[in-house]
Amino acid sequence: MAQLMAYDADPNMNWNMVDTLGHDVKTFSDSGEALDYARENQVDIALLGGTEGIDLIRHLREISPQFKVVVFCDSPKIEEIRRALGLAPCSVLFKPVVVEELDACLKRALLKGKSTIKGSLKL
Amino acid sequence: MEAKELAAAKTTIQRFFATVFADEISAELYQAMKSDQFLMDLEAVSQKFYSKELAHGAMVLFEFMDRAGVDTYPQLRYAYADLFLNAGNNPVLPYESFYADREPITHGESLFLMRETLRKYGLHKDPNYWEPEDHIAVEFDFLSEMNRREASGDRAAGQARADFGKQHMAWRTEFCAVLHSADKSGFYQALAELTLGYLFVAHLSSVPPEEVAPQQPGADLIELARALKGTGPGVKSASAGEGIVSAQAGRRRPATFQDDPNPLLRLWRAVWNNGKS
Repeated sequence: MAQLMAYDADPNMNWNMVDTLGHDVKTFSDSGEALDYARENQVDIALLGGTEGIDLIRHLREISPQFKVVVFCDSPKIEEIRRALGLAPCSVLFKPVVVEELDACLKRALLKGKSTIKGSLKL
Repeated sequence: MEAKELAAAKTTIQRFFATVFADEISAELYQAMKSDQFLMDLEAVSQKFYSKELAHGAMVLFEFMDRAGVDTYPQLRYAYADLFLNAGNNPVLPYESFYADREPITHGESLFLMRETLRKYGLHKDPNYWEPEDHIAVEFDFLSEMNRREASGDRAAGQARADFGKQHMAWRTEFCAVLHSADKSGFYQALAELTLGYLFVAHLSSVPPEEVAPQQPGADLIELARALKGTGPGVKSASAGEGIVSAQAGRRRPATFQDDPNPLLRLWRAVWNNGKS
């Protein structure tokens, strides 16, 4: 079981399916609160939704350079996906969240340890 | 809209992507994509899509092909070599292992999982196709075959396709972004945008309709397939010789396949008598 943090600026974003995977998850729609939580608690992976979620990655990496994040994009704008990948997330997935997709992604991210961070993509 | 109609549409779309990423674009496919009919269809569907991202991808490809000149075809062949055959300064690795294993290596765990998946569904990569099984073209071709079976009434194939899509979508998204970044010709940038738009709409089609309304992803996919059917004459199988060769070198499997619906995969139509080969 992993300690997860989920952030999306949209307060209606539904993260309920993460519970069904057996992980502990704390959800936020305020980026400041999310950052405070990340500073004060152990977080294995942060799930970040939308453009604001991508913006949050830099701040999480200030807490830990190896902070693992999974990004959920609202739409397939290639520039946004390139921007997200430039910040070395574990994965970039689409909304709405599909539980099997997230499960596969989290398993890989948790098992692969430090090498989870994708630093080798040329963007 | 029937599930079979949607599966048939996905078969066409995935065959197209399998073909354009498998190798340098053939003269036949290029001519088909440059034809007035295809361009007219592509422009028309780009204005019908509910998904603005898919519309954008189709329009970018339309604009590229519409302005393509007499020198464009050889340039696209060079572009493929630069991008995918390591001939250029900024190559793109089209292998799942590179993305999923998060190590700058090929032939990783994903390759062996992909081989296992192919075996499970009685398929095999064409031995004359030199790329490994986790190449993006082979994965699209596998999905195309599963959709073809689903369209023929095989429900298990539909489930297999859905499961595979959920496990293997993330890396294809990343591949599109890397390809878009690396390409200088404009053609592969357009394909990256169209592929990404397709992946997104296919993703939407996999969730309950009430979660994605007013989008109608199924309708978008059927329209896209109609346009891509215009490339039909260019999408040909890369035929191999007789017989099916195991992924394990030296093991041959008896085969009696009669037709070849997929360019990169072979159907095992005969019962494999293990040990007799």
